[in-house]
This record gives sequence, C-alpha cells and structure tokens, in this order.
Amino acid sequence: MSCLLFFIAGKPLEAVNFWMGEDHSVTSLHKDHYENLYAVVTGEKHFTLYPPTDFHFLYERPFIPAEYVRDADGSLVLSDHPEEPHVPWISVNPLKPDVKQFPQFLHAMPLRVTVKPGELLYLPSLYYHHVEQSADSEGKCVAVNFWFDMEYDIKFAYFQFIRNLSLKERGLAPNRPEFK
Amino acid sequence: MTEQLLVNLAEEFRELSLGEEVQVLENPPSALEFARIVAGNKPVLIRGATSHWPALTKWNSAYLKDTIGDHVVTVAITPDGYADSVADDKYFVQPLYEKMTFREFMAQSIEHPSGDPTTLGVHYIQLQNDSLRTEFAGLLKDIDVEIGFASEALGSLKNPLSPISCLGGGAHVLSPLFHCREAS
Repeated sequence: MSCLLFFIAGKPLEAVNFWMGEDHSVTSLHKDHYENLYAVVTGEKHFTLYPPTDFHFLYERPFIPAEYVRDADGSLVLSDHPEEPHVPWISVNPLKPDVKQFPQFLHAMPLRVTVKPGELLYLPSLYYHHVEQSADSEGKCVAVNFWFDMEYDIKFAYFQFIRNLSLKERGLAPNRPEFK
Repeated sequence: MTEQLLVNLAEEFRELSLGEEVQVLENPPSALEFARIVAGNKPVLIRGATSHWPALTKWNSAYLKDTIGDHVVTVAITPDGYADSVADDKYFVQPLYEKMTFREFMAQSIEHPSGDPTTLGVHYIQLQNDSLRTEFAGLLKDIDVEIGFASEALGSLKNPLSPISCLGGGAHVLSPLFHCREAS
C-alpha cells in the first residue's frame, strides 16, 4: 500500500543502505528480489555466489522463526515462535557444508569474488550470496549498497518453476503458506 | 530423473554463459552495456565507478564519530555474527535490534572487537531500509547517491519500490526477500 503511495508520488526511490561492522559479521546464504550494486568503502567483502540455477543444491527448507533477546543478566538467548508461519531459508552453510545431510550440494559451483574499496559488485537478482568481511586497520568494514527493483519477467517465472519442481522432489509442497 | 535434469540445467548455464569466474570491468559500463549484463543475470565486478567518492578517504573512525556520533542508529546484535541465519538446524534466527548512538556502536564493536566478552555480542549495522538516507543522512555528501549507468539502465524503467514500506515491520520483519513482492 505505501509502495503504491510512493509510486503515485513519483519519487525515484530505490534503497541505499549503509553497512558497518567488524570482521566477525557474516551474512548467511540468501537471495534478494533486487538488482544489487554493492560498493565497499573500507575493509573488504568476500562474496560467495550461487546462480539461481543452483537452487536445488542449496536445500531451501522451512524453519521456525526465532530471534535473539537479552535475558536478565544481559546475555543473548534465542527466543522461538513455533506458532508463527515458518520461514523458508537455505539449509547449507557454504563455509562448513554438511554433505552427508545435503549431498546435492556437491553439484553447486560457487563464484567467489572479493570487493575492495573503490570497487562495485553487480550482484544480480535471485543470486544466492554468502558474505564475509575483513576489517581495515581500524578494525572496521564499511559498505554502501543500492537496490533496484527487479523485473518480474520470464527469468523470474522460470526460477519459480525450478524452485517448485525442486521442492516437490523433496516432498515440500510449494503451495504451503510458508512457500508463498 | 528430476534431480539429473536440475544438475543438467546448472551445468548448461555455466557452460553457455556464466563461466567459472566473475567478470571484471576495469571501467564503468555504459547504460546499454550494463542493461545487457543485467539481462544476462551475471555478476560483474566494476572498477572505477566509485573510486572518486570522498568517502574512500574520509570515512575513518574519527571522522565518522565527529560527523554522526550523536545520531541514533539501529544495530543488529548476535552472539556469533550470524544475523538472519539458521541455528540448531531448525530455527531461522533474527538478530536483536537495539538503538544506540553511533558513538556507542563504535565503542561496543569496532573499538572493542567481539573477542572481548564485555561487548555482549557481535554488533553489525545492516538495516536494509534505505538506511543511508534515513539513519546516516549525515554521510550522504561523501558518496554519489546515483550510479549513473545503473539509474539509466534500471531506475527510470521501474516503478519505484519503497523497501521502507516493505521492511516496515521493525523487529518482526522476517525476510524482506519473500514478502516485498506481495507488498508491492
């Protein structure tokens, strides 16, 4: 609804996001429905990319939603919400893949690329990406990225078909609410 | 049978188009060249598109604290650095989001890396809600908010989609990727 309002207002609004952390932060394997331009300002970002045609090898499954909260002494603990709709996410951690549990992962072929200050990565829509970072001499990594809405074209339709086929092959019904 | 066909699909895309390495462009592409890259759905590393940004030389810790130190920013906190990730083989866990001044963020993360137990978690600024133009607007002057070839190739053809509205659920946003389409 508010998207529609922005459209009516005619603002050329894509997202420009600011990222900053030290080298312990990792972004787990996932995809976005955006065309993404990712610029590193300081430090380095290490991307592991899988094209959408590798979907079957990454083992998307529904997971119970949860979040970290602080307990009475301030420690971070997991709080789960089993009653809420499950979240489809990628099972495999490409840093330590469990190929016994996920044997088809051996067919996945990553593209690896390190983005340095002054460089810009075009990360196509629907590509699965896992991101690690290295800090600069001050211990920080800073990046800026630009999101453009993707085209919901035949490529997207083909991807949905592959995804549905793969989920069906594994006995995961694609039309369950969590797979919408 | 189906599995073999899916293997064939991935191999065919690699052999016909994708290759085994990310292509590198030593100079920014024209809008037409970039539109062709996007249509091919292939990643590319572009040099020379952002190397003139003042941010590249200005954004050291002292400058950032001087410029936005008192601004309140949203920080994702996890015990292990994995925000929005699978845990215990059955949970999809989102980070704890806390608001703090940028100066506090620096003190708890960059200036005390997370090996230090007093930091109580790995801190990461990762809010994907157009954060540079909202929480970090004080830094906008140091970058170009338009990448010319990309805006020409993608921006003007699109109905602008506001990730703010898609991600507006705050702490309970699950995965922007799976819900934005319905919202738009």
